[in-house]
Amino acid sequence: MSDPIEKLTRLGDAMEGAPMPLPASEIRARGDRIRRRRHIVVAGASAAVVAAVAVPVVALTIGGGSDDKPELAPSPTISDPVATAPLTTENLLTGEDAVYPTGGMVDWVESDTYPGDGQAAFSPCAQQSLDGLGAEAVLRRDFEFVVTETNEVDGTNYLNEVIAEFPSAADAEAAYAEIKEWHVECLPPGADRYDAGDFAAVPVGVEGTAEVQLSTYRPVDESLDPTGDLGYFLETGLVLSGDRVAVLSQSIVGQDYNFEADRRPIVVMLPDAARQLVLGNGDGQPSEPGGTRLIPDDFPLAAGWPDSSQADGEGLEGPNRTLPSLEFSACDATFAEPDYLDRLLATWSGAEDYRVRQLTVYADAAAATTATDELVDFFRSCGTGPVRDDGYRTDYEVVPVDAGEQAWAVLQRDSFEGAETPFGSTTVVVRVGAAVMILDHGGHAGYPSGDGQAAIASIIDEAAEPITAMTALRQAADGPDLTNPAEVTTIPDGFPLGLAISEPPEEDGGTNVAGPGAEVAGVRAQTACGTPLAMPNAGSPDPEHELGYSVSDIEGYDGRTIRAYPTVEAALDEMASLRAAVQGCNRDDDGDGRSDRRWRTFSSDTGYDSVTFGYTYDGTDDVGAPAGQLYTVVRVGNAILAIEWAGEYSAELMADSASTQVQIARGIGAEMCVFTVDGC
Amino acid sequence: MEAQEFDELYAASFRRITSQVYAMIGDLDEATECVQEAFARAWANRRKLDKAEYPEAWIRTTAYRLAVSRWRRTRLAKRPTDRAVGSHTQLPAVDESHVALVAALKKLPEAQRQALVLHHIADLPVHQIAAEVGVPEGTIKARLSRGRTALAALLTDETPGGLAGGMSHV
Repeated sequence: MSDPIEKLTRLGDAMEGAPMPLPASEIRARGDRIRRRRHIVVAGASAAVVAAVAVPVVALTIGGGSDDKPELAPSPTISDPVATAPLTTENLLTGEDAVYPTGGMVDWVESDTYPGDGQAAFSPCAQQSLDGLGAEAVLRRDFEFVVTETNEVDGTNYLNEVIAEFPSAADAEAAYAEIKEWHVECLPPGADRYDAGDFAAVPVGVEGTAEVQLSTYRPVDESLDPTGDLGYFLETGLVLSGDRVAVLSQSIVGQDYNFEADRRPIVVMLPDAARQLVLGNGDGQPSEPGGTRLIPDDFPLAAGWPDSSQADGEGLEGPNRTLPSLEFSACDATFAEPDYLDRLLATWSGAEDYRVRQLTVYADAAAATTATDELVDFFRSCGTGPVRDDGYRTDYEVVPVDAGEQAWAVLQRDSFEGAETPFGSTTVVVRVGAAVMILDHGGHAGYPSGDGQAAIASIIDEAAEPITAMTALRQAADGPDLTNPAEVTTIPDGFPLGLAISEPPEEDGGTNVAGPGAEVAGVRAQTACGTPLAMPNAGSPDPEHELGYSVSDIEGYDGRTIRAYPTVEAALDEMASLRAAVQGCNRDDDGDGRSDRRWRTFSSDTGYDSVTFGYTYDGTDDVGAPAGQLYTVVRVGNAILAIEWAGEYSAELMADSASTQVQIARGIGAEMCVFTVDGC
Repeated sequence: MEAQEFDELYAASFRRITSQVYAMIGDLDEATECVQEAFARAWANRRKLDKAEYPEAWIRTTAYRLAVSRWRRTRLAKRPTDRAVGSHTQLPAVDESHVALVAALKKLPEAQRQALVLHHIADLPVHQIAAEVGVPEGTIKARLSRGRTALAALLTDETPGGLAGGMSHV
């Protein structure tokens, strides 16, 4: 047998003496390009951009053949876009920086990015959304745990990052303290034990605070851990910088967590997360190009413009995210722009013909509406501007336009000593959902023939393609509108509400089976600490939109109800009410004055938005066996399924039975994807 | 890290790291490009590299992760890998016995291959491999032992006339 070690050692020398493929200087040049892409030098970059673009936009001239051509102002001018940029997806940890440092065997892979905290809690210790803590903007990114060799996704482990911007640094600091407290005093759903680790400071190289905590809790669901050897390792990283907060939550199911303290995944990721978080937050660094975008790079922003060869100037520049944003001023005031998530710009300029299109995506349609209204009101409230040094003054007229979901045109016309002039510019603002496009034309294209309506019509006609394309952005920017009427509000025929893990129960002398049917009650009404539990049916039937099923025998009662709510939001509200009622209730009595009920929650790993909970009698009146009721409630889209099992439960038996009930809920839940907008 | 220091690191360790990554992934072209890209990223992140206790390990891990990531993308999208630095590089032919060894290494489970490469080619002590890979030292020792046995058997099987009996999973 050959000696493999000797051969291995020789392999290490295999390339000794071989020529270097590239000189070190070329490698460094490549590194510098990467670095520049990440951190554009602000002063140089913005100044250069201003110089390049300010000429066509700002130095518009008037004067009808006169050499003495005063500047046409006020008009959209160029601003440095990087002073304090709003929170964007570029502030989230990238897929490249999300690592699980085990030598490449597994990796975190970006799976989803969206505004808000998401429907599922970002951490099992989270007690409310970051919106609820007062954040003005919240973004979240989820990662999947991928086995690199097989490319399989291990759904039992997860990583996510939530970032938030608060009205002030003090608000962010308070929120940071609150989130930290959640992770100290925590009992995740279904856990009977939570061991909170200490928070330890992590140097991250940016101004602010960063800490990490490793906590454990158990038990793990029996389906994953039949022998009870595993636990959850919850590693949480927090960053506070100025008015921004980032929370990294990673949950790993395992027997141990073999990392040196300074090599734990969140510790490794936290400096990158902090670096991303502060981008654009007054640290002198612009937003980093190249991150995840809400506007596709191939958005046809420049469609409809003439070919650059027809321009006696720069022609087309963009579309890109590096052109400076439009800045509006009127009546000696500058428009204060609201926060946005993403922006794409394009300019087309020829001699005395200056066109800019700026497409902006806001957090939601309401924010976009506000941004549009505020801009229009800014001009409307000005009306007529002051006489400038050159004797000209600008009148601002706001007129409605028939385009998109909301559109206005701002006609800016210059007059000289009370007489009309042929000079002006036209700005059209079009909103569709959460996206707002500003079409700004100056020079010859701004006020052609002195006919404002013709200018508006020409601009809208020219931008027909990008305006149409804005509708495709709605989904990306808003996510599904949870208040929209749901598409499916009745229970499909043949819905398997009676799903059984083993043999389905049959009607006989000792067993009563009812349904599935619209008139069957299924889950019965229940209270916890005096609060009615929000569950489908539960004493308030809605046969048009629900289906019930029940099996009762001497051992107990199995009731199930599924209801389709009119909107996803209504279903979410129902789940929130249910959780609020259960969360605050540890003990009560059922009104008979004899027995205390002890309420507990159990692991509810259905793969959907769900909660499993129940009560057992803490003490009996010495008559009969211990009893209790176990509930699993699952929401998928706009539908909620509730399962009730009432029987002769001891506390131990209920804990054992919970995983079986969750299994049934998981099986039925899989059939509920029809109630979602995009499927499961 | 200054340019001169970086250049020295590059000159001293490029070939060595490339050999190691080649042994891990079995493709010399790909290993070369990934190591180049890893060095470029190291320069872009040189502040981070300054803090790293073992810059070579940082670069090796980055190169290996790049290789795995490229492989995954290529497999998923069935498109050519992106060329990170410059054009396709021309490399010297590799000794035939090395090709056989790399082919044998490729037949090992990834964890064993990685342990063998880091220990016997990168010359890292067991405790450092454990730290780099993120598993206990005992696990690394077991992987090394099993890997050596399996590799010896595979190399023997390569010999014409040998009694090829497949790998013994212990």
